[in-house]
Amino acid sequence: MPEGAGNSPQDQSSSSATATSPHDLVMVTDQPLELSAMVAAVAGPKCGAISTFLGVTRDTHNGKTVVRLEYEGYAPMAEKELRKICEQARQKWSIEKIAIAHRLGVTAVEEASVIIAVSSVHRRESLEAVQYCIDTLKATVPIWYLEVYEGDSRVWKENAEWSGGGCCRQMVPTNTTVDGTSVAASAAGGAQCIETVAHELHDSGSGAGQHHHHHGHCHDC
Amino acid sequence: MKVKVLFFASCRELAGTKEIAVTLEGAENSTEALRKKLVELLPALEPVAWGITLAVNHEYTDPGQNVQLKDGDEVALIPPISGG
Repeated sequence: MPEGAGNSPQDQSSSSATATSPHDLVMVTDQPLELSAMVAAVAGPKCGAISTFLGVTRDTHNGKTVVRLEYEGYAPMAEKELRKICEQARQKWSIEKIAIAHRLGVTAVEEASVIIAVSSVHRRESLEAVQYCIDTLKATVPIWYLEVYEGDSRVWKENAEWSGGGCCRQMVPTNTTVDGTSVAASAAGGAQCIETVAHELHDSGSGAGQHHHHHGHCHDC
Repeated sequence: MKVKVLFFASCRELAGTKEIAVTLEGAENSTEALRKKLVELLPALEPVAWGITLAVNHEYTDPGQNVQLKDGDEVALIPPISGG
């Protein structure tokens, strides 16, 4: 038996993909984002699935014509929060690699402001992890954008997912049901964190048990 | 002691600056004292200064938590985020 028993490429990549995620890529940059580079960053011989998400600037909001978005970020803290998201995703799913890049500065219509790529052996893990990453990013990563409309009016936007940064240490005050009515946090919820499962949104016909939790994409629990 | 205070997005526009150095004297060594000092230095921050989320050295503080500060700390005012 040769030294370093795991001498096949598979074994090597397996041993390097630890919970401390040495191969995850997080990036906050003023350069345009490239999907192909993000896919390349997570590709590998063991990966049967690569799932990606792109957040892209669209041209209208509530009937107003959007000209551009101006992103601003607290870069070192944003990257630190992105690393936390990678670590949390690895605790929840068996993942090969994660890459998350967020653009700063001006993005024109149709340009990507965020790209997330996750690879896994099978598809389910990477699909679910990508959704978790974008939902959590919107709740915790200190980045902002100014929406600039035709005619030069402008608005600093706010994510519905934001709950003041103290996400997990705060009780979720209310839950919003799928039909938009507000209900008190259930006794079962208590002071625990409630995790959003976005696919619940599509089950609106399936009864009172289905909630869409507007706040508290909690990542520590 | 001196702390660095950073402003972003709507807070940056209210403050009219990205960053200031704030000197805190004696017992004024907490985030509550810093909020008070910021309103004195930059009265335009009055509407947001008392309730806004703060990050100390790249970590969020809990809402309502009064954190002790030390010389050289970096404190950021974090208005509601909109990344993504």
